[in-house]
Amino acid sequence: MSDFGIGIAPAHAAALGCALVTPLLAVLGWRIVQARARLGFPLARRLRTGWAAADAPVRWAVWLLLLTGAVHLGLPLGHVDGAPLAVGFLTSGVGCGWLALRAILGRRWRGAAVALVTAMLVAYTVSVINGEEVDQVGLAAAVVELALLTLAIVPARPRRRSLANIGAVGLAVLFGSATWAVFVAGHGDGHHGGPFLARAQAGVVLRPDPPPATPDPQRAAALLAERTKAATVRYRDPAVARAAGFAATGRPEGLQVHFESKANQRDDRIVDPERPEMLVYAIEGGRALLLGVVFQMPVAGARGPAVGGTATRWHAHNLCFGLLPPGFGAVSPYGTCPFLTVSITTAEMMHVWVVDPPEGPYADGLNDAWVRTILRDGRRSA
Amino acid sequence: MTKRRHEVVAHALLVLQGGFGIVAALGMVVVMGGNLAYAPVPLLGCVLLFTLAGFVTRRRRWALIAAIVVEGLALAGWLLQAFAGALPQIDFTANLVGLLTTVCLPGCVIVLCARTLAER
Repeated sequence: MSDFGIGIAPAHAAALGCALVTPLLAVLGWRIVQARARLGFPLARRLRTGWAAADAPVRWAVWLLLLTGAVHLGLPLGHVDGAPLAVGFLTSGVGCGWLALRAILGRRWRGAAVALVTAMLVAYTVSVINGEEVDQVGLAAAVVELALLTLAIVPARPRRRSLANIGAVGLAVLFGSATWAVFVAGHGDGHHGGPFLARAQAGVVLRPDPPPATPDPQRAAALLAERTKAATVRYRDPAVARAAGFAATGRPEGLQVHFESKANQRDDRIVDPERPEMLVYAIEGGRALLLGVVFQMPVAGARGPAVGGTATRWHAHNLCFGLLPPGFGAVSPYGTCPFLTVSITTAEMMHVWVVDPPEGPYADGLNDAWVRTILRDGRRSA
Repeated sequence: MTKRRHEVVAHALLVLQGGFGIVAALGMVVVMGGNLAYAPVPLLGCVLLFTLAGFVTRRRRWALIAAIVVEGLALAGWLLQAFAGALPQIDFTANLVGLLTTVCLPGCVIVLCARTLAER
């Protein structure tokens, strides 16, 4: 529950603030409109009459346009990426306000709203592909925009409702998949130890680095890797691991088969190379190779110690757990899990690889092709 | 009472929710190594939402009630997850977009369907 703030990029905090005060400002603004309407101002009277006549889809669209507009008007307050981008944000924000006004007055707004929202979603996707970190404010704004887009296209043509539904669903799937792919690529790109905080929280939850536990964190990280390598020599053979109480958590074959020890998970010993919570093997074609270990915190939500500073960074997984059939998925960028599954977040964990991967002993993951090569070549894990 | 067409908004939100469900189903299949056995149940949930959306917009009483029940169960599931997060073995990550799609969205659908039922 304490990860709520981590998902919000500092650059987007002002935009979120703008969105949160929008309902208050809208109510105040509406009171002014009503007061002016009573005084006989023509525009105010038309707005009052228009709102009274508007049905639920129009009223919802107005609120969604106001929220989207407020977010876009607030973005230049946090984003200092140059004048063109700021002008783009302001233009889209003002555009949303203008369309909200048109909707209240009973004028055409749907076509322009579809064009504007599509442009905003495409622009966000492009900026994410170009390096902007996906965060909760960006995703929440996208959800609001998708709801607006669906409202704008679905009721407009009742005879073509199926086509409109497919369009709305297609865009939601396309945007979600694209941002997820970029998020996963970013996470696997060696961002550990940097400012990357996996703010999309779509399968991985990262917390900011705590202060280093030792004056020389690099040395501490190297020492832990060495000690882990030495301590796990005895587990080269999976049969020895099984005899010591480790058991495969899933399929017994694969490029990253996890063996867990319930006893080590319950012993309350944290980052003990002699008693790792999990072992990771590559097991294929009758060959087995110990790749490394996973250290895990005994209690979910508890922060792992900063053994080696930013190098030894812990992570947790927010997963969707289901029984039909039993298995796991990752929580999507929309924060959703599949039908009949529940969302859980694991205890913090940290990999230590003992096979000297090119990315170092604390890499997020290992390249499958590289693992196949060392498995085929019969490299010793320690 | 004047018809406010709340069912149209409920329809749009149900369709959107189905779209989010498809993305989540994709995630499940990918994480389980591309095993398509993990697709049918999640996709069935999406089909249920799309079907309900179609009948909700026609103001069918049973569909409005079914949508309220389905969304009520979704909200109950969220609460269950939040309480389960108090267990030592698992945690629960609450974030902005998750609140929007798993709490606000079902809540809005319930209110809209209830209003449509009241208007009938």
